[in-house]
Amino acid sequence: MVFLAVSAVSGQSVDYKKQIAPILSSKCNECHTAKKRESDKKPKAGLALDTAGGIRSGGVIDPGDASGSDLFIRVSLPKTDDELMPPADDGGPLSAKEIALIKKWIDDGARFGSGSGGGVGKIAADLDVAKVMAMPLREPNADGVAHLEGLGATISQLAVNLPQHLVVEWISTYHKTTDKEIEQILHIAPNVVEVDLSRTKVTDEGLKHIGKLARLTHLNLSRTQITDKGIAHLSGLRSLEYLNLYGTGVSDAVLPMLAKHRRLKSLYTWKTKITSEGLSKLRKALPDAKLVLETDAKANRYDNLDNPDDKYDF
Amino acid sequence: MSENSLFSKGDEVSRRQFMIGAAHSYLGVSVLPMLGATVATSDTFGAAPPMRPRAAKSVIFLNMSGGMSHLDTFDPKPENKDVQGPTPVIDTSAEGVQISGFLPKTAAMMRHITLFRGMRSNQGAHEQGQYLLHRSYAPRGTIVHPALGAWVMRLSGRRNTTIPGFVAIGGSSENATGGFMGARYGGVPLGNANSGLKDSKRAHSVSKEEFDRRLSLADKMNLSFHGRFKQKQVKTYHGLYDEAINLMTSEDLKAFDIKHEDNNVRDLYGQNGFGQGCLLARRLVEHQVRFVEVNLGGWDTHNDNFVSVEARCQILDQALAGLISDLERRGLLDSTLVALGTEFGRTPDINENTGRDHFPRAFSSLMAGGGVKGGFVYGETDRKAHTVTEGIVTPGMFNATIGHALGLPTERVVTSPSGRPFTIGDEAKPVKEVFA
Repeated sequence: MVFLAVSAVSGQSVDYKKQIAPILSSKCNECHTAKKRESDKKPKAGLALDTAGGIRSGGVIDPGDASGSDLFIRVSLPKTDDELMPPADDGGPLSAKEIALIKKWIDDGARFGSGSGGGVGKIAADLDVAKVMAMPLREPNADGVAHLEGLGATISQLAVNLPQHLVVEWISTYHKTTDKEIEQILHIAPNVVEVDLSRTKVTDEGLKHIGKLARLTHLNLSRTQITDKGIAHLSGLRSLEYLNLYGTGVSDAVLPMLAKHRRLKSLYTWKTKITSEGLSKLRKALPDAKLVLETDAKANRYDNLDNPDDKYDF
Repeated sequence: MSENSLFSKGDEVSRRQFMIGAAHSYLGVSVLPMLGATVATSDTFGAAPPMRPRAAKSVIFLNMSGGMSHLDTFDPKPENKDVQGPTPVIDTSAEGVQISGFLPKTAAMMRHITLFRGMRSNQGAHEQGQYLLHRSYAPRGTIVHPALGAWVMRLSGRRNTTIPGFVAIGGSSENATGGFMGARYGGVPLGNANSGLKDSKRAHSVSKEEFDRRLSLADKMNLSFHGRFKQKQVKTYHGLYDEAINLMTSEDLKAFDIKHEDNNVRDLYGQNGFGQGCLLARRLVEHQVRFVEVNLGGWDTHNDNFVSVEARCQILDQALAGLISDLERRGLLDSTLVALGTEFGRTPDINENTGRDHFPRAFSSLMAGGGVKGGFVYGETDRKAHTVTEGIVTPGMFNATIGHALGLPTERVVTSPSGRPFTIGDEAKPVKEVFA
């Protein structure tokens, strides 16, 4: 039956939003939802099927291979099988046509985008912090996420129940990531709360794009070639809590700029031109922040300026 | 499904060895025995999101095998010379917290550390104690429980999908087992830090074209094993090839090579197996490896306890303080949990050989970074360090706490092939009081 139906849907490509999402929302999302519910704060089995991020990170699809994907396997089991989803007494099984659509969608690569071939469109030339802040925080643009992933980025949700808050990293592709790829992050600008650019080829110019991510709280620039000029582009990031500048070309000149980031809680400055005198001044502006300069390798004496009077010499 | 019985549990070893042998003969790579362990095919998209924001991303687990004396390390009793013996006691960077004078550099790092002084186990022999420490369950003849790292792989998956997510440096390869979860959740055991990943480059005798040709042949051979419903084990071994090839071309391979480190950094950790293992662990964590275990043996101090423990402590002190300070200056300490555990403590009473014997009733462990409080002590023992008077923590609770630090669903039940339910901490709850 299933195989007959497959031929019925073969040919045209399956559109996630129009054809897959409605199946999941009517048959699966009662239990597998990222939305907080009063009775149960977490999605069933930690698997949320109502967001692209939830499906992607749930480990149930192997794009290009439906027969190896739990999402397809579980819905296509015989009605008598205990593992069948949705459970037989809870609306299951799906219709043959629905199963066939899911199979074809996964076999075709499980794309969440519109599939219209129009790509992700252009980034507005006048996009700035104020504009990004004004954008509502809702489910991220799936085309934008897929596009960035295609450029080697790893994109994940901040937490299971926070599908709108995204973390963007270049985990094993950092060595070939330049300003060009990094600019594409603006397609999902309102959703980005953490960015790890550590060891990438980002330049001072590239930080112009990062400076538009108004909701950014964590930024890791360690071991990149950025300098004081680049930091100037970050002045709009008023939510910044964590900034890692270890191993960069920045100097004390950035400290007056950083003093304006009132929410800064952690700043890392090891192997930069920033001095302990400079950090002492910054401490007056940001009394509660953790400012880490370095630990002296030889004496193994801790030089965190948290408690300058608190020295341990053994 | 009859297909599933084709490769039943009993066939696993022989089939695995066949594939490894085939890979070696036809592909000219011998990295597969180490890699087979971490192939996971269902985590194409990397780790599942954590249950809460800002959870730790990685764990470095320091295994003090042999049974680390609690009195001579993290739970000294200076007011009671009978049990304390000659071990000196010092203040630390955390007010009111004293530890052994054998650990001066660790004392300076105490403001990042939570001590667990109420550890208790019910296993008084090494093998059983290490088993419980790593797997939260006591050994049973009928099942092999997965190691903690395998739980992390199972409940969340890899962050860096081009290299293994679970690596164990030194110690018994048992500590890297996937147990009933299967080989794909197990870890890669490395003999020592300096050797790195051996044989992970294409052999010179095999040209690129020849390699690709052999690979496609091997693929065809393997595909014939695939049935209408792909069986998970088959898929796992099929994935071995992709994994091996990824490794051979991966920029991340550098993570396994500590020769990229400056000499002063290597000195910071101590120029010995454990120190360099901790350095390798830091490199792996920088490359988003989820779980790294580093082993330090030699704690079984039945004889000459005070001389032996001081010598062990020199190695531990240098490496632990080096690791914590290096993670902190790189901005990695908040996202990396350093956990130190042992199978049991040592008797408060000093025996006739100036030694201490096995003592599972009360001992110590610690955590640093990964969101835990600094300069904090959880649990305490009586004036003889003989009985836990407050804050008992079992190995299962300790492991559940590590799971909680990573944002894993610690109550998640995983069913063994024999149909029995298991959780990461044997139903124990995490100790949430230790988190800041």
